[in-house]
Amino acid sequence: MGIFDLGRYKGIVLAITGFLVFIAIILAFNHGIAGRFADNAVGLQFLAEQQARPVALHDAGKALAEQLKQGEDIQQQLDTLGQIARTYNTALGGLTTRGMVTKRDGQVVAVPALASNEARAILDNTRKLWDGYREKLTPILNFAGSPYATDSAQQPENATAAQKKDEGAATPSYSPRGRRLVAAVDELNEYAANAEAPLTKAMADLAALVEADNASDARLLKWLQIGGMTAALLLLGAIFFYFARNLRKEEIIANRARKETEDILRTVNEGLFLLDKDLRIGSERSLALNTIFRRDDFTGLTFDQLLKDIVPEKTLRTAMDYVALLWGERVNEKLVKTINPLSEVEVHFENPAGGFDTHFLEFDFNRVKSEGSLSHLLVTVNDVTKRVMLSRELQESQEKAQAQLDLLLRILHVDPDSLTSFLSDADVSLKMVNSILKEPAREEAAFRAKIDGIYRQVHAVKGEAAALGLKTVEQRAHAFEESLNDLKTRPSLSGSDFLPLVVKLDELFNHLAQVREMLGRLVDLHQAIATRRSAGGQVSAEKVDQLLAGKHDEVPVDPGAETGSVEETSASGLERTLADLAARVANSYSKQVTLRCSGLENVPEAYRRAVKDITIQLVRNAVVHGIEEPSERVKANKSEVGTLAVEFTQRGDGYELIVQDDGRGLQLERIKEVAIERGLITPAQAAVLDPRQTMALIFRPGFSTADRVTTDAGRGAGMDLVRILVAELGGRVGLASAGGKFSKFKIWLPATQRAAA
Amino acid sequence: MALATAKAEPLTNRKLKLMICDDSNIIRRKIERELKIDRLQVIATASNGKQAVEAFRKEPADVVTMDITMPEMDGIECVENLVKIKPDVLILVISALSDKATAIEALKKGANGFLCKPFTDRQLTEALEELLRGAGNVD
Repeated sequence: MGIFDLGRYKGIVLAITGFLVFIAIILAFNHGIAGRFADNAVGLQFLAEQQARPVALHDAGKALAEQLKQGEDIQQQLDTLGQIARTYNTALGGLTTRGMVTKRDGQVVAVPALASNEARAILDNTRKLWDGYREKLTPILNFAGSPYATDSAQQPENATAAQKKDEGAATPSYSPRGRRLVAAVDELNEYAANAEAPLTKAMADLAALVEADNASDARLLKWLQIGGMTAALLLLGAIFFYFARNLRKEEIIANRARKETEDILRTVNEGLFLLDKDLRIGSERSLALNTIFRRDDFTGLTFDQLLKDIVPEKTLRTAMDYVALLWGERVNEKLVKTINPLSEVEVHFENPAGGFDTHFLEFDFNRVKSEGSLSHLLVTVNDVTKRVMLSRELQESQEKAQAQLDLLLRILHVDPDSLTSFLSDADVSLKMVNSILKEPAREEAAFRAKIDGIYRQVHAVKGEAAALGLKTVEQRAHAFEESLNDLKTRPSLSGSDFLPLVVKLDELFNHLAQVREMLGRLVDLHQAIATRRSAGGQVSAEKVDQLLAGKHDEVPVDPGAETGSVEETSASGLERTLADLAARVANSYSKQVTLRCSGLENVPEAYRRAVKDITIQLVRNAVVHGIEEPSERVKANKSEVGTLAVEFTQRGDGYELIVQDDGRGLQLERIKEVAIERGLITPAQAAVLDPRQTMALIFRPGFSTADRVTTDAGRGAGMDLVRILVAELGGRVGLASAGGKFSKFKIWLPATQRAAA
Repeated sequence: MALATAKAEPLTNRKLKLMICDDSNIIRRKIERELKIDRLQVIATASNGKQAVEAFRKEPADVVTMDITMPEMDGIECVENLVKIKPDVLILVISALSDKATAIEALKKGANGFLCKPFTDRQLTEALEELLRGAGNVD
């Protein structure tokens, strides 16, 4: 800023300058008038002196005459007369030329009043009088030598004559020149007597004029002072008014600006604040900060203090390093935004319940420069929790979709029967796990037994999933196993340790349900395509998509198909599953079996699932345990091929499901042995059990009679599961068996309304 | 002092020398190929920090692109050395965004900017232009 660049002070500087100039003019004027007072005083003194001169001149004339009469030496008196006359003449000369007066120190001063016309008239008169005077004076002043007779005899007498004068001496004798001098002096004195008064009066008149002038100057000065003071006061008043008004105007503008800033900071949704060089938060900040940081004590707070309780130590250090970098001149602000460690930072706020609330905050830093150098960092903070959550959800669902796609592709490569079988097995296993989890247990040994039981089930599921290449299932089963391993290594166990397993189990269930659903859709799709083909039509890609998306009901698969045929499809689906299962299991045990089903199409919708699970268990059980190997059957006079019958009928107010085989029947002794082995009963108890009670043992959890653990049996799931399923539906299980002849499971289920209730 | 000589050398209107440091041959070639700034001229490439410092001693570049993870001498140490040799060198760190703290470390040692891997040719050009603009070399 240059020195003449006054900016906003221009007004006040101009006003004060104007005021000073005004005062200077008044003072100069005053000074001029004051000077005239001094000059007038000199003039008056001068006039007073000149007023006395004619009298002195007259007196000198008279003295000269007397000396002449006395015959005294006149030379001195002549000089005196001449001097007075010359002085007076000079004074008059000065006065007539523009009223000049001479001060005592010889300085010449012009008195304006004496240059006025009035004064000039007076002076003209005086001049005339003086000119007459001078005429008379000239011959006298030109006289030189002695006026007296010059004979030598007389000379001493001259001296004595002077002495004689006092004694009334006689008139001295004059030389002819002396006589003329005496006459001239007499003439002068006569003129002087007449001129003395007018000359004196003239000077008095002039003095009066000067005084009058003085008085008028004094009046002028008085008015000038009054006027000056009034004007000065008015000017000052005006300046004050002007500046007061400007000040007020500026204040209004400043207030308005401040108010606007406040409004902005109060309303803006973002957290805004400034950081100074010491990383202290500035006083101006947005109200949103209170909400974002759940505090209102920001005054004097440093950035470090703001963050330290809500972010991890490492993040805090990185953040402080980053902010320090921004204060340095070296880094390019725009080129470091991507490494801002607070661009999406997870923060934790303590909540009143004693826990933590997790939020995501987005910090943005901008350098604020003023006058070329960095003065502050402007920090913008936003709570982006919703955005982050949404994007995470999106990512999760994308991952899930990807996983589903992978699963689908995997499923497409797996033989559908194997998959169906796996699914039902896995389902049974997991239900078994569920029932083990529900078993009451108090002692450590019981807990350990539980873990082992669950482990066997889960491990089997994992192995089968791996064999089929169902990675997603395998992973989840594996995670379950890991949790179990973790429990195994714990020194002591309690019931609550099993709670997390319930969650894991649920996850596995859900996942298997997904696989099952996907498989169902694929089967539907397959059938739809088959139907279309047989009807000579084509399935559009769109419809395939719809089928895959599960919009199965909206697709008119076959216009001619009745609802019943769909039912039949699933009933025949179960029949097929059971037949496949029986054949597969029989094959793996080198047995032969035929399965006969009836009434499965009448299974009500609500029971379809349970009936499927139960029949799978019973059929598998019958093939593994009931049906004998062909050679054994031949020995017992039976056909090599065993027979299995599954019947579902409506009976009274409920339903009856019968699964019967013509195998060896239940071997009561073997059941007892196993139950003792498994710790379900003691040998003493075994001794007193009747056949009915013995048969009931096979429904106890953990009971399994197969010697080796295989996919199909030996995991102790089968009968227990059947019991659980039936109990869940409010039904009953009956069991009849004849050694070497048959086993018959009779299950009664209530009417579906009751089951629903 | 080096600082004085460096300051005495205005960079405004002459060609600027660029050195590329990256242990990946592919990235080095990518930068060379995609460089779209006429004023920049590649004078050296280095596949580790040690090489970079040696090359820089022989002929100091005005602008350097710098990878962080390199054998022999990593990018952070390399940045420190280059800045000691020539305080006004402009260094653009090019690295993956996995560890922000490491990138910040390099900037603390004197690098000027950061470009995240992977990058497009456009991003590279913009970052280098911004680097030069920040140093007052481009209007």
